[in-house]
Amino acid sequence: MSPDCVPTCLSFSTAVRRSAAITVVLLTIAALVPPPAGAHGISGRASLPVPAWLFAWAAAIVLVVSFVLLSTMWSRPRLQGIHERRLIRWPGALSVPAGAIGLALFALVIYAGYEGVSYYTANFDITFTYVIFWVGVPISSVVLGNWFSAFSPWRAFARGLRRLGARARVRWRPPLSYPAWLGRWPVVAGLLGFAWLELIYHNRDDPSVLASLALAYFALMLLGMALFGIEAWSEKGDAFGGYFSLLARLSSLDVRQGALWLRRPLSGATSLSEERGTVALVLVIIGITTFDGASNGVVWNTLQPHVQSFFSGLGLADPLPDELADSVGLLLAIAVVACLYRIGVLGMRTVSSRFGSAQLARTFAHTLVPIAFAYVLAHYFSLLVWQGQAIGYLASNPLGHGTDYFGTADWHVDYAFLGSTAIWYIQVLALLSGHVSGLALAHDRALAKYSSMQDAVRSQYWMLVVMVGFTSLGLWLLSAVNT
Amino acid sequence: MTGRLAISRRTFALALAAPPLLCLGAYGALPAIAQAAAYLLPALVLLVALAARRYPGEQALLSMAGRWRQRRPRARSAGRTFAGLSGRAASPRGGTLIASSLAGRAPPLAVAALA
Repeated sequence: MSPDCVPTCLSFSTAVRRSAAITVVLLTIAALVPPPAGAHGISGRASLPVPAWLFAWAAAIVLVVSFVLLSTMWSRPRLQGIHERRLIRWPGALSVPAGAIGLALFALVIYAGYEGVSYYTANFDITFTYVIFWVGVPISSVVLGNWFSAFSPWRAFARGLRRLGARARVRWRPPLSYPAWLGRWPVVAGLLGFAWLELIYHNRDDPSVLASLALAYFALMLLGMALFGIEAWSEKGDAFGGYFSLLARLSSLDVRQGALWLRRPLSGATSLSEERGTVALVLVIIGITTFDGASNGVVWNTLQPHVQSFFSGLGLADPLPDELADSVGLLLAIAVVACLYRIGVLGMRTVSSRFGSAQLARTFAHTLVPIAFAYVLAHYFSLLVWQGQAIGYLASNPLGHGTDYFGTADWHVDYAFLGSTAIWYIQVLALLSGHVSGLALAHDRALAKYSSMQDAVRSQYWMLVVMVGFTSLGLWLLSAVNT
Repeated sequence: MTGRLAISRRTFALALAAPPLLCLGAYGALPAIAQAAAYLLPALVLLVALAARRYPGEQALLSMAGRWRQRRPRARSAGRTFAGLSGRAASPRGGTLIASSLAGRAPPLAVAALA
């Protein structure tokens, strides 16, 4: 027993014995519980060669092996500096047509929302907003870089106004500088609001509601940009701009200073500034996806009616109790995710007294970015692959009035395009690669922060717990969907 | 003060967390939680070991890392030896010759200062 280990600490052999006992008990319980695969609505899950929970164990083994390889072969920081090279010149004039396309699509969303049919599968708005915009843009940003900033309708509109003003010799100067204390909190609030709309609000499938909210958001963005400046607000105040640019840090491509740059994979994430709200932002992204998965699973479906009946007992009219219960669920999911990260941070704090827990949480926040992406990709991949095809016929018939602008109005969603089993393997692969990337980022940061190799390795044991925990949680949520 | 219970923050947090957990069990979510435990077991086992302030395999990892670091420069120097044996690469010419001479022996500091 180590000298600093007071009698309250477990000895190693006791810990191992207790762990083994807990393992046996839990395995027995798990064996008694019917496997989730058989009850899934997605038939492919039943054809898995092993129970779904074994995938979590296999993933844990892969993570442990990655941890060993990183600890032994990666002995100096490789991602902390700038490792990039200029590929080609990028004409700034391209932002004008890109902005025009973004504005045209935004106008279509508004028009279709008010003039189109209200049935959600026949209106362009629902698929475009919840599938293409909310899922497709962040996933494509990881491949292509932060392309949304060029297409952002509110940014394009504000830049257009500024250009017009300059021609008329009217120069607008933002009266306020962006306050440091606000950090990324507006992005956090915006994402929570959108998640609430998509997952909880009862009228989420009403195109006219979506159009009204989009207009309100547009006005809010213009106000923010007028007060704090276009670029400052686009990066920190725009929920979608902030979210997409965060995930785009994982991309190897970056457009800035009039050029296209190629950078070392993952090195973009290390330059994530430790502003206020950064930790909350990544935790909220993971928490939102966690709730989306859990809301289809057995735990929340068992608990939700009880929480709902509590709110009904307060005399609230429908659908408020249901919405409030789900809001509690959303907050709980974020709390679970935050607790998991907190365990890792508190563990790392025991390794060295040099860093406080808040500082550690900020320093390692960027390691959660690939996990956030992995959760988004794994959770929404099937939605993007299947429901995303609907945009083909909706482009020709956006209002649902029977038009056929591009000759694609008779297209259908091909569900046989990719089988459920293939999707499951892609989800597992996405979760694994995201967490291995997170582990690599954390290891690299630990080497840069800790003075001794021993402290760096010890701190990474704790991050390994976090990564294995998030991977297992993600796989459990995916397997529990539709149970 | 005597006669009063001293409640630590940890105990207080546990006391706060206990009722919801009990409610979870009471409402029949226990089978699902057991199912979740099957998924989370590897993380839980590792967590238990770390909570006991044990880092399984730490010494082996550190020694392997040390050996790996020692091996890498040797491998590089071996590569150079092979390059040195391969004819043309052994004899520097032109700019490389000047550079290698300068790198081998810099001018004396006093002379450099006078210049």
